[in-house]
Amino acid sequence: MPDIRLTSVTKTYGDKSRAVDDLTVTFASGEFICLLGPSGCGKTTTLRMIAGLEMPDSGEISVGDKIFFSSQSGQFLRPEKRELGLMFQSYALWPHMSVEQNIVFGLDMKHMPAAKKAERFAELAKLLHLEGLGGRFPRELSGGQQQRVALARMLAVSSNLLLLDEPLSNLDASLRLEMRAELKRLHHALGCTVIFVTHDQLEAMTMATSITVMNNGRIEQQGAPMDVYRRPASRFVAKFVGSPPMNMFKAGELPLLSGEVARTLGISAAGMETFGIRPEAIRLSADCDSAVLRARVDTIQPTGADWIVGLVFGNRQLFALTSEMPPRDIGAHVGIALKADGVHAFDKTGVAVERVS
Amino acid sequence: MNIRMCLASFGLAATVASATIPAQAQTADIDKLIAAAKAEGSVVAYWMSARIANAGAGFAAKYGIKVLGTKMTDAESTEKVVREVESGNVQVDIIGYDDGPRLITEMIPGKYVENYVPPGLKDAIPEASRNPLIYLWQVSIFGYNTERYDKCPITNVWQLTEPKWAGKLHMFDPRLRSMQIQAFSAMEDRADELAASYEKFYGKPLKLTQANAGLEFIKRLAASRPVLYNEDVELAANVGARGQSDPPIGIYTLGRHREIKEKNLALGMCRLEPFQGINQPTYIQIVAGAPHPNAAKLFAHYLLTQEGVSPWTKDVGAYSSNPTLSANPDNPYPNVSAWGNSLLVSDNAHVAKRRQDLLDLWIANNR
Amino acid sequence: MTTLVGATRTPLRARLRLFGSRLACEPGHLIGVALAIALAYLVLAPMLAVLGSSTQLTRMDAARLGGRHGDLTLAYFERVFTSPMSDHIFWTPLANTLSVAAMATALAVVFGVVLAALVTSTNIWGRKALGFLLIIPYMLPSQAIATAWITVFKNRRTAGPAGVLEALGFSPPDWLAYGQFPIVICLALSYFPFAFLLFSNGLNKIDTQLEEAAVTLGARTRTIWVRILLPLLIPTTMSVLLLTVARTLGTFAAPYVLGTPVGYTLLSTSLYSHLRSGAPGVAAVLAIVLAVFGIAMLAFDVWMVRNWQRFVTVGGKGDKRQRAKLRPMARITQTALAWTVFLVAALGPLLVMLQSTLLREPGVFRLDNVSLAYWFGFAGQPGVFTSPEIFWALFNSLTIAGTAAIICGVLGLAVGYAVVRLQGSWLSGFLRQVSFLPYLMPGMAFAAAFLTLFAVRRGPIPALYGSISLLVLVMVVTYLPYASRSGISAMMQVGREPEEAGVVLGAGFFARMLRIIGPLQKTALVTAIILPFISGMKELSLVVMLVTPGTEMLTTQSLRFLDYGFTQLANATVLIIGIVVMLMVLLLQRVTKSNLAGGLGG
Repeated sequence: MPDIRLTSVTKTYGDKSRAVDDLTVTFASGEFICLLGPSGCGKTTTLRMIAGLEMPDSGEISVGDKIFFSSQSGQFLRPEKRELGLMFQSYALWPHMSVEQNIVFGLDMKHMPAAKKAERFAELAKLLHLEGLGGRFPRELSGGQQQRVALARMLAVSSNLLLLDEPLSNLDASLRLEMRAELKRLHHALGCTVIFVTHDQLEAMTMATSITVMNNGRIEQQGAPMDVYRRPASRFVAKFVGSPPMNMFKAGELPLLSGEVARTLGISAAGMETFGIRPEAIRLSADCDSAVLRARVDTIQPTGADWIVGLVFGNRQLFALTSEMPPRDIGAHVGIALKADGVHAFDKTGVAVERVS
Repeated sequence: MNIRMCLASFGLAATVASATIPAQAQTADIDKLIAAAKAEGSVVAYWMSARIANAGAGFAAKYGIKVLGTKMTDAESTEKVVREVESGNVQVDIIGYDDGPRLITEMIPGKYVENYVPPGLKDAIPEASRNPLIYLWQVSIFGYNTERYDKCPITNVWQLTEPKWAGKLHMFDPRLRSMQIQAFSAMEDRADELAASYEKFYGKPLKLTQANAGLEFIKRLAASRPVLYNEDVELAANVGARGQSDPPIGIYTLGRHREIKEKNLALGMCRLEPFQGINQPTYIQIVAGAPHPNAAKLFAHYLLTQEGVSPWTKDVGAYSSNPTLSANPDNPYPNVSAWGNSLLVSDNAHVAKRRQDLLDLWIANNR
Repeated sequence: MTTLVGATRTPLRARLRLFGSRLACEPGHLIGVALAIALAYLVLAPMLAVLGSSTQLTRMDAARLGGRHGDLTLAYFERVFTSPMSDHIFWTPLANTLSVAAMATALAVVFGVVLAALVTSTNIWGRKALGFLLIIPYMLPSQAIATAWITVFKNRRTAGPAGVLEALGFSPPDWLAYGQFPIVICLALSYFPFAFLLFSNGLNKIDTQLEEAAVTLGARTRTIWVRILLPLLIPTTMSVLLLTVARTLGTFAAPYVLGTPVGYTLLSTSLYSHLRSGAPGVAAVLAIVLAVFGIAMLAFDVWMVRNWQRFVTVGGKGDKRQRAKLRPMARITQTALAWTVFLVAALGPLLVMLQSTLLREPGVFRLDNVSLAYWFGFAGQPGVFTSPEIFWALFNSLTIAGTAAIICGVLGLAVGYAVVRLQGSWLSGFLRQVSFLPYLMPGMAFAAAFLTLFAVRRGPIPALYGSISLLVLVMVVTYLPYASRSGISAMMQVGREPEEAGVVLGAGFFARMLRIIGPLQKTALVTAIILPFISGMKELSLVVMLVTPGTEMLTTQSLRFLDYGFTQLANATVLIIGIVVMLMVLLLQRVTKSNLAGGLGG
C-alpha cells in the first residue's frame, strides 16, 4: 500500500469557517497514524474525506497513483472503490443483524459464495476473539465485543487501509487499555496502514507511530510521538500533548521565572512571548535558601507511581510531576530547578523559538 | 362535433318535431331516445332529495338503465358541476336543484347546464314551469305538536315574532338553505299583505323600521332567535316528538308528515295568515357535456310521468309540475293551484338581485 | 489567507463531473429536490388557488355587481374585514375562535399533563390499560363526542325527544347544552389524548437522576414537579400547544353540532356556511385567515425549535421513573379521576352511539323498546350488517385511507431521509416546513382548492376528479405532516452512520434501503402509516366535497344516513369507524411495541 497524500485540501460547511483549511500532508504507508486535536479541529472531516463520505471543496487526495479525489480533473472515487475500512465512533453496528450478518455484509455486497463467507467469518472471529458470538445481536454484546465486531466487519473486506474514528472513546478505562493493545497487535499482525482520530493525547502517544496534531482545520505538527512530545512545534501542541499538561506563562508575567527559562534555553528573553514548563521538568528540593527559584507547596496528589505537586509561585499555580516523595509538606517552601529538555519558549505567533544548543 | 353541439341540435330537432309532427312520430322519437339511452347504459344524478334513489330504482326496473343518484345540497352540486364542466371532466348527467336564482344567473348563462323539456310532455307542462324546467313542487308548512295543542296555537305569522315564541320557531338556516332566502324574497314581494294582516290581527298599524313590512317581518323573526337547521328530518321530529310540555312550531316540508306513523310523531299543519307555507319548485337540468345525455333526457322524461314522480308524490306535500298527474289524496289540497296564494312563491330574478341584502339583514339581526 | 484564488478555482468540466459524483453519492439530493418540487406543487398550489378565488368575482356576484366573472376584486376582503357585516362574518367568530382555542387547549394541556403524571408516575390502578384507553377519544370521529354531548345535555331549546338528563328530570340550562362551554369541553376531550401521549413520552424520557438529585437535596414530590419536572416539560408543552391550537382553530364538527342551535359561530363554521351558501369568495378569505394563523404558528415553531434547544434534556440512563406510592385515599381518588376521564371522553360517547342503535324509538328508555333491528334490518330496510352501502363505504374507506396511508408513510420516511441527509442546507429546512404546512390548513379549504386544481389535467397529473386517486392524493398531502414528523425524528435518531457503514462496505442505494434503512425504520414506517390511516378513516370535512357516487366513504355515508333520517345507521357507521381505528391502533402497539406518541413528533 503506497503513501496517502493530501494536497491543498479544503472543506467548508455552509457559511461557517473552514473545517479543513488548505491541508497538505502525507501519511506514510504501514504507519499507525493518529490525527490528534480538540473537537471541531477538522480531524474527523479529514478522515471522512479520505473515506469518501465527504467531498472536499478543492484539492487532491491520492494513494500512490490512484486518485481518490481531484478538483482539478473532477475525479471522485466512490467510497466502496477505495478499498479501505472505516470504523465509526458509535461502531454503527446494525442492530437488526446478527454478529455474523454484520461481519459478512461487505462480502455479501461482493456476492461471495456462502462457504467462503463462513470461512472468512471463522477466520475473523478467531482473530478478534468472537468465537461463538456469531448468532448474537449487537445489543446482547458488551462494549468491547461490539467494538471487535465493528473491527471484524471492517477487516472482512479490506485490511490495507483502516480508518478509525475515535475508536476507544465509548469504552471504560480498563477495556480501553486492553483494546489499545489489541489494535496495536492487529496493526503489527496485518502490516496495514491505520489512520485513527482521537482527542485523547494519551491514546495518541501510546498507540501511534506517527502523530499529526490538528487545530482549526490546519496541521500544527506531524512527527513521531516522542518527537512531538519533546519538541512541540507550537504553543498549541505543547499544551495539548502531555499529562498533566504543560505549565504555560506569559513572558512578562513572572520576570524571575522567564529569565531563568531564557537562560536555560540560551535565547534572548525579548523574542519570547510565552513559555511552558513540563511538570516533570521541575525538580523540587528541600533546600530553598540556595535555590534561585522558590515556591510554596499547595497540594500533593499521589498517583501511586508519582506525585503531582501543586506549587504556588508568585501568585500563579503550577504543577510538578515527580517520581520521588515531595521534599516538603503542604504550606512549606521548596526550591525549584528546571530541566532544559522540558522547557519551551514560543514567539508571538505561537511558534516554538529555536533553542541554541 | 362536440357533445354540446350534438345536444343542442338534438334538442332543436326534438322541438321542431314535437311542434309539427303528429303523435305517431313522437312515439318514434321516444323509442329512438330509449334506444340511445339504453346504449349509454347508466345515468349519474346529483339530487336535492334522497328519494332520487327510489326514482332511480324505478327507472332501472323500467328501462334497465342504472341510476347512480346521490343526495347533494345545491351548494355541493353547484360546486361539483361547475368544476366538472370547467375541467371538461364531467361525471354527472342530470341535476335536481332547488336554487332557481342561481340557475338563471349562473348555471344556465354560464353554460354549465342546459334546459331540456321532454318534447312529448311540452304541452302538458304549464308555460311558467318550462324554462327552467320544474318537475316538482314541494310544499313547506308551519307545523305544531298535536299532542300538546288541539289546534295550531297561532293563527297569524306575526305571532311568531312575539316574545312568547322567541326561540320556539324551528326553521332552515338561511345561510345554508337557499329555499329560506327565496321565501324571504317572496315575503318582500308580499309586503303589503303582511302589513295589512298585521293591522287586522293587532288592530293597529305596523311600525316600520325597515323599507317595507316584508323586511320588517324578517328582521323581527331573526331577532326572535329561531332554532336553525340544515336538514328538516330532525326539525320535524323535534316539533312532533311526544311528551313535550312546551313544544315549538316548525316550518318544514309537508312531506315529513309521512313519518308521523313510522316515528310516532304528533304533527299537525297550521293554517296561518297571510301565508301558511312555502311552495318550492325543484328544477331538472341536463349538465353540459354530460357523458350520458340520452339517458339523462329519458330520465327527465320519466320524472315527469306518474311512476317517475311517485317516489315524491306518493307522500303528502309534493306535486308534479305536470298537472295531469295525480298526487297523494291525503294532501290538504288536491293540486298546487288549490293552495291558492296561501303559499309563498318567489321570483327567481328578484331573489338573485336581493339575496345578499336579505341574508345580511337576517344575519345582522339574528344574534 | 495565502491561498491563491486561481488555485482553488476549478475548471468547469471538473466541477460538473464532481457535481455528478456528488449527486450519485448523495441520493438525498435527488430525493430532496424531487420531494421539494412535488410538495411545492401539492401544498403551495392549493394555497395559491384559494388566494385566487378570494380575489376573483364569482359568476353570481358578477351578475349582481355588474362585473365580469373572474374580474379581480377586493369585495370579498372588504366584506370580511370592513363591511357592516364583518362583525358577524369575521370579528365575532374570530373572537369566539380564539377564546375557544385558548380555553380548549389550556384544558387539554391540563388534562394531558395530569393524566400523564398519574399514569407514568403513580401507582393508580389500571395504569397499563389507561395508557391505551385514554387515547380512544383521539380515535373517534370528531363529531362523536359532540353528538354524544347533545344527546345527554339536549334541552328544550331544540325541543324534540328528551335528552338523557331531561329524561332523568333535570333540565340543563342553555349554556351547558350549547355554545361556548360544551364546545370547549368537547374539544378538550377530543384533543387531550395528544397532550397525554406527548407528556407521557416526555416524562418517560426525563433522566430520573435529575429527580434523584433533587430528592437528595431534600425536595418533596410537589417541589420536584413544580421546580424540576414541569420546567423540563416546557418544550413538550410548547409542541402540545402548537398541535392542539392548530387543530382547534380549524375544527368543525363540534362547533357545528353544538354552536348552531344558539348561533355561536367560529371561523370554521362561518367558512362552512359561506361555502354552503354559495359564497366561495368570502369562504376563501376566511380560509386565508386560518392559513395565516397556521403559518404564524409554523414560524413560532421554527423559532421555538431554535431557541428552546437548550431545554432539550440529554438522554439519561433511561431508568423507569419510581412510581410514587400514593396513600390509600389518594390512590382511590386519583384512580377514580383518571377512569372518570376515560368514562366521559371515550366510553360515554361510544355508549351513547350504541344505545341509539338499539332503541327502536329514540329517547324512549324502556326495555321493550330495545332491539337489534337497526343492526340486522327490519321491515324490508337493510340494517348495518345487511346494508350494501355500509359494506361499500367500508371497502372504500379501507382502500382510500389505506392506500393514502401507505404512500404517506413511504413519503414521510423519504422526507425524513432527505431532511436528515441534507441537514444544514436550505432544502432540508424547506422540506421540513412545507411538509408540515398542511397540518395547519383547514381541511375544507384544502379540499376546495384540490377540486379546483385536479379536476383538470395538470401537466403529468391526469384529471383525477371522480376517481379515488383524488381522495388518495388529498389525504396524502393532508396527512403528510404526521408521517414526515415521524420520519424525521426516526431518521434523526438513527443518524447517518449506519448507512455510511454500508456505503464503505460497497452497498448501493437500494441495497442500503432494503437491508439497512428499511429494517431499521420498520417501526417508524408503521407509525407513519397508521397515523394517516386513523385520520383518513375519521376524515369528514376534507372528503365531503370530493366524494362522487361510488366513492362514498364511511364518514360521508354516515352523513348521507343522517340526511336520509337514518340516525341509527349513521351512529352505527360512526361506531364501525371507531372500532376499525381501535383495532388498527392495537395492532400498531402489538407490532411496534410502542405508542402513538412517536409519530406525533413528541
